[in-house]
Amino acid sequence: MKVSDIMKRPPGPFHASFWKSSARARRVTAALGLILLPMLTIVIVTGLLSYAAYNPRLPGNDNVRHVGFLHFYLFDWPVTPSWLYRLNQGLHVAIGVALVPIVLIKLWSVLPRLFEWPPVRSPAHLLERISLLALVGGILFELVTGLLNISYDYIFGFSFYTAHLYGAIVFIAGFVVHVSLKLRLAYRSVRRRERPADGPDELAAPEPRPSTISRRGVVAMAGGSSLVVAGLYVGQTIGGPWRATALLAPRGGPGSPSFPINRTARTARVPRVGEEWRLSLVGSRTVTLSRADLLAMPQVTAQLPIACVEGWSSVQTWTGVPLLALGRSVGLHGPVGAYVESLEKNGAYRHVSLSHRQVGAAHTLLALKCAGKDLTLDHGYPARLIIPAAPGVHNTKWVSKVTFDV
Amino acid sequence: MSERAQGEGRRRLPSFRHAYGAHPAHLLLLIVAAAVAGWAVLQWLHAPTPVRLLVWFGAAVIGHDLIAFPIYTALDRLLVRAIAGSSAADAAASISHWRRAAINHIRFPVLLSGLLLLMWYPLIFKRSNGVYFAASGQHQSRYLGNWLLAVALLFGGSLLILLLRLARAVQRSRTLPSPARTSASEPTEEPPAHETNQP
Repeated sequence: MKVSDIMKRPPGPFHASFWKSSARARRVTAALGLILLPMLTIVIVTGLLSYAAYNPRLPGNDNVRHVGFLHFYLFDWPVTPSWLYRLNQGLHVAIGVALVPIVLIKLWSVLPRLFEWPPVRSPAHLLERISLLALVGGILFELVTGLLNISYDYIFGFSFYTAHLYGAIVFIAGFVVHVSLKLRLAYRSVRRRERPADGPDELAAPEPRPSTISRRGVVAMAGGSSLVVAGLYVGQTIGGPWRATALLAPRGGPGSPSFPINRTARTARVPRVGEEWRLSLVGSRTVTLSRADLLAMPQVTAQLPIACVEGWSSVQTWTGVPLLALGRSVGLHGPVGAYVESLEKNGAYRHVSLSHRQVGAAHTLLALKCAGKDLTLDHGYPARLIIPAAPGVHNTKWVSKVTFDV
Repeated sequence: MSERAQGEGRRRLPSFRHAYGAHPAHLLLLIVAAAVAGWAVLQWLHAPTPVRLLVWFGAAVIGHDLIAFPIYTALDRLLVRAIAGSSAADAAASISHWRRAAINHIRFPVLLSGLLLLMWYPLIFKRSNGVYFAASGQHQSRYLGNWLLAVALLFGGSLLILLLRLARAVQRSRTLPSPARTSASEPTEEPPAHETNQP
């Protein structure tokens, strides 16, 4: 006996005639899917790279709990090109934002399938429907937590990094299944080369209301919405005069500072420090330097971006002492790893572990000045790190101590 | 191998297909995916608030499919009825080209205004002003104005484009030879071909 014999089809959305839009069709869904495919691929790849950029295998750098197994794909994050993290994170967040309208319109296009009857036709069908929960739940969860995180609205009450990374893995599992099962059909469908085995268009309404929008119009509206949402956002990543155009971006719009701050001195409870500040350097020997001592050393100036995991970035001109030169002053002859600490007593980013590649980079600086002027207190006075291609939070502010691995 | 054995081998696959409903590779793919996703969910269970995480995951689906969808569909019906009147519900009727254009030139800015509000409501309603100020030293008070400016630009731009389309159609109908001419108040523009993918 079949399920359909036991269970009677319930009324309402479980009947095909409930769905009235003439714009739903397999071709529309397929076209939206083929637009989403490259976008989601970029968001997945940049997302996984974003985790690698933290060099999470170094002590204290991992923001995610119980991640051991995932470390298999990590690698020593490079320092060139210096815009690598800026590009990676800019793409991840901007495309993530641009996904929202297309994902929602694609969900609209397939909603009748949620109510298909009988709910389960075969074991294969059951498994496929469970995988759709991972796909749809996964993408919505990722978009919601991502948007809330960049808007500083931490109502979810769990660790963003842990939730967003594992949520991504659930989503990726659903995504790989969905693409494997549907890509060829989607391709045939937009090319109008469907086969008899593909069956009738189960998304087309059998009794539609008069059309108010063409099917092409639905796809155009999804694409247009995506461009507008991204257009009102992307200025916070490009920076410069474009920042003012980002009306709806957490670090954009008219009047927003060109060089954003991610933790004020007040929040970090770092008081204004004066002449008494000293930098401790620990290597083969220990040395204590004042700011005047540091300014007396050979200075290096470099134009480097500072880019946040939240997607904003800003290119600044930094002047300071290369970390490698500081290492030499405590008896080190080549690049080694280092552990950098801040005056800040609390906060997840009061310290960072650097790889020997990062310490060895000519432009990894203990910066004393920005744009030719002393750093402001909010930007890390008396001294802060600036590392090419690293996540913004690794550019530790208010540095008090550097311990080189010996 | 004898012919008979080959025949049996060939028959075994269809019987799996019949019982399972798809090719064995389908099952393999889904098992691997389930293992990966299951592992990720198990990691979640180690988090300090696992139930919260799972509730959020479920709420994301239910929130869209069963709450947001009926709301935006109802709003869309209101818009269509306001412009197309009774023909909006009559399956046998059709909605004229310019009414459809009017619907979509309103639909698009309404959709985007709502979407932008949904995406950025913590900024627009200053929900996270305290945390935001602690991070950036800035206040969120500018975002309500920014959103309203975006809404004004979207509606203004969309209606301007509609007017330009109308004006062009009027101009074209005036320059056409007399048999095709119609009054300026009822411009006719060949409606674009749509629903061509109907068999």
